[in-house]
Amino acid sequence: MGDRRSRSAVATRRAPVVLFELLDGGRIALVTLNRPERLNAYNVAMRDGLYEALTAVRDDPHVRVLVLRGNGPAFSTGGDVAEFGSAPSPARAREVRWLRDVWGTLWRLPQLTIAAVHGYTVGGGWEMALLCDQCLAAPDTRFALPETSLAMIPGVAGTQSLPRLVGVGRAQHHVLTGAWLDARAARDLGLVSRIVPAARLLPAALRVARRAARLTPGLLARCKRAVNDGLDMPLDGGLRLEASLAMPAVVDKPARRTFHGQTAVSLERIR
Amino acid sequence: MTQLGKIYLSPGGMQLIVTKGGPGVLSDGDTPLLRADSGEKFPAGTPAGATALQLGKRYKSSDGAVEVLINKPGPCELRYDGQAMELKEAKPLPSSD
Repeated sequence: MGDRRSRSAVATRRAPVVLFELLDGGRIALVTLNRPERLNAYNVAMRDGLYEALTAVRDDPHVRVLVLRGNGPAFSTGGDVAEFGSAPSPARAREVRWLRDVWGTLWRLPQLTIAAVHGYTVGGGWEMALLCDQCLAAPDTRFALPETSLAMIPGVAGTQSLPRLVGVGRAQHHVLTGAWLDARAARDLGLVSRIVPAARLLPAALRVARRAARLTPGLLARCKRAVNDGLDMPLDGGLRLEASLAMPAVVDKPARRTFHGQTAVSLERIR
Repeated sequence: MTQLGKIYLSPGGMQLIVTKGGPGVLSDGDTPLLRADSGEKFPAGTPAGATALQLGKRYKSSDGAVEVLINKPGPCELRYDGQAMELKEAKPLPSSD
């Protein structure tokens, strides 16, 4: 597995609920949800551990790819119902989500993000995977958004990420009914790039990660921006974005510096 | 000079990234850390501090002006301008559900 830096607990708890490792000389970050006895339900400790790990990845220019996975029988069953209703007030809840914006941080990472999912991948767990750039799934993976059955709206960006990936009708179907989706159906919809036997899920995700990590960091980040940011633009704007991001890759080093400046200017114009 | 975005090494193999820079010097005890891009190495036998710094943790100077992120764990008595750096703890926040 190459250079594997020592495992570190990033949440302070007897059994850390989030594990953070750097592999391959620090080029690949492996973040593991580690609350298997609760099917990796997302609680306050996991929120804080994930935020610490994701911001560490964000601030480390050596990391090129993030792999996110879950320990135990499930990837994650989303928000821990034991904590539902425990926010001091709706206003405070909104403030907390703003102050510790785990999902915005995950979505905005410049690194390639890969979710390796298995078992129940439900509610916030599925929405976490939807925020990643790629998703590999074990054959036993079961996806659903059950929030509406609890009189809640999917609150981990699912109402925004899912329609962008499968279209409005299918997204509304899953948001409103909580209908189950298995790994094969998810692959057919384009939500899962590959189905891999559970025992080979992590090695497969790391193979994808290593291939991507061989690209220069700047190229990887520009490709990601072209695809992700372009989705929110009209085609004309997306084409201009792609042209701007493509330029630095084809010119020599001294000129590249100039083009970086021009790219920044043209991106500002697009915005 | 502790430079923003630069990586520094300790004699014990700990490695950090500067996320907020400043004019002072990072050290492991009394031994200044080396910038990773300097090409320099610690002389054999340079002592390392005993505190185990963990991957992903952040430390700040006593006045909060300088911050670093540990990106390779290892032993180090981390100081900034001779003053021990403090583990930066996240502010406790309640559930938002």
